[in-house]
Amino acid sequence: MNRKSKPLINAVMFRVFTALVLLFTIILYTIILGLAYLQYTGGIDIIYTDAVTHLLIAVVIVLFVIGWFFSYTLYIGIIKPVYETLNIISETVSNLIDKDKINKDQVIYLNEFVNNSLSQLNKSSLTHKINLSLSTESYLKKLSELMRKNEELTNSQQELAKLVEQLEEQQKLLELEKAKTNAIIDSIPHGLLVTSKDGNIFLVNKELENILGLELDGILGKFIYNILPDIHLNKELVKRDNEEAFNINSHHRYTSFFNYKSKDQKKNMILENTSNPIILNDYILGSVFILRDTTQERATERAQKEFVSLASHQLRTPITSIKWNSEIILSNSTIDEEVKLAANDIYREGNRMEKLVNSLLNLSRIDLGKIKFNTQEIYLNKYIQDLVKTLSSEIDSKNLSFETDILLKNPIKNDPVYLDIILTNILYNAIKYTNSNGAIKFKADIMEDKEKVLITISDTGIGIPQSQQSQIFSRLFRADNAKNCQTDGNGLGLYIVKKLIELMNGSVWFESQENKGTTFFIELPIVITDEV
Amino acid sequence: MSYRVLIVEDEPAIARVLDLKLKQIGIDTEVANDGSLALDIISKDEFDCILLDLILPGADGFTILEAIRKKSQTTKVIIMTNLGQPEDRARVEKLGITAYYVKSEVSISQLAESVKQVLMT
Repeated sequence: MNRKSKPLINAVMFRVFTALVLLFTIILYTIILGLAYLQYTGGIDIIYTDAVTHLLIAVVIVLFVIGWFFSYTLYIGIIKPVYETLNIISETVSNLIDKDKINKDQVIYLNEFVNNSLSQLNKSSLTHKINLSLSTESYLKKLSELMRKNEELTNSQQELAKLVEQLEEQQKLLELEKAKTNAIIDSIPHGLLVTSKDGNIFLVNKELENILGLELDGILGKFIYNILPDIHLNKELVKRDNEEAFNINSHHRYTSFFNYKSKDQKKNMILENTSNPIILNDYILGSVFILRDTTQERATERAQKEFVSLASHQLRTPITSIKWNSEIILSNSTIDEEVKLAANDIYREGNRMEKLVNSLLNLSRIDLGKIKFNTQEIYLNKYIQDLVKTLSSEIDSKNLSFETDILLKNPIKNDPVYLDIILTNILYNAIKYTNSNGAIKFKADIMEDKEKVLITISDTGIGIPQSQQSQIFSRLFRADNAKNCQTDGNGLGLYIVKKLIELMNGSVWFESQENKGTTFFIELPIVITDEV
Repeated sequence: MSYRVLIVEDEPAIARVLDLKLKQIGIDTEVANDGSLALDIISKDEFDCILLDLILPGADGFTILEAIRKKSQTTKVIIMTNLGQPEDRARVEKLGITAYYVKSEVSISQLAESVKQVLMT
């Protein structure tokens, strides 16, 4: 586009040319009129009167034609397009002022129109020869200014369009993210419920609807205690099922099992709830509740518990019979040596079965979380003496030395039944895996913090192979060298020991060297808590 | 005068061997191998000590212990059962017992010794 118009550059030339034409025309008219006057007054005698008259008429006609041609060309080539252009510019400008009417097509049309008009002006041979008026020049300046602004506007519009596009894309992404989040929430296999700070439910997932057997409309916006009256078991502490009660209950992590009955009585189950406050910048926004239907689990647990009880009775009865009857045979001094040996084997195997049953029972109680400690004061000095008595036949038969070193005088508080299981297991292992004439040492001392006792049981036995030390507390694990020298272990003892010690909030570890011996360290709180 | 002990045990192999062992140490015994039979005997007779199993046909050991306690608060009762769970133990301890043994965990001589001591105190 050639916006630097040539007519503006050649304006002076046009003015001079036009002035000369006008001057020439005026001179010619003056001469003709002068000659006509002189002839009329008879001042002069013109020889070629007719010829001159004809010439003058021809000149007038030619000048008239030239003048008409000039005027017409001026109108068609310049005035008309400039006028139309200015009209459209003025219309567009007024539109531009009114932002609501900004129309990209209109601006493009204007650009095209201005370009066409300019190229028409440029093409016109006359535009090079005609002096444009100053107002036209200023309009053209304004036009070019407007075109620049248009261009800027077009650019801005393009940028705006790009931005809108980006926004739309981001919105799509956000919607996708939202859909994903919703899908994740709905895929959680537990019921999810979220409340505001004042306990009104504002979000639930599909599983929660399933568990409660309620439609979304019946849950959202409701106060949580209206839907789940028993979710917070300690709400009676604050008397009413109100917001105050909710606040007290929901400002900390909380786990409860509660009974839920739907209004139509179709659902009657035991739900497990774990709730936690939602905290943002130290401000509690609300609470999140995870609900799980544990009805089936509870039934299974009950069945398992019943099985444990049944198994303990059922298995122990024949074991008792085997043990007691073989014992009666052994107590008869008149029987043959061979029968005695056989009866002894039967008795020993009965004992082994008994230990296995006890281990299995303890294991299932641990697994079911059924261990409850019934603590009493235990003086370790006397306690260990009694314990050693029960193991004395094994100690004596291997001619082991047994040394005790109890450095605490005050009693500890523990459950004697479970402490027995722990210490008997480790002591029995020490005896079992120590060769004849070896030594076992039992030491107990209060720890530096005065809150724990450290029990150390060391032996000079076969030790635990380095490569298998990490597995020693695993369920059903037995070290290779242990399997080779003793066949009656069941691989449950140390697993149970570790679990019980952990339930007592203590810890157990060991140091061992193959063929040198093993030392077990048991760290226990001096006072263990009754209920676990 | 010898002591009289009632053995309430439904398992014949156990009842027989226990009966034999106690007789060997000079104790006069009677065996009830059924819960309802035990209730019947207890209502009619007096014993210095009752060895009581908990799982029994007819009537269980808990019911029998309640019946014993209704009749006498002082009759010595030794529970010999294979129910080892603390709940079972706590339940009978509430009703009043002299000793509690898990049968499979004691030898017959230990049990007989314990009966002897209970009778003599």
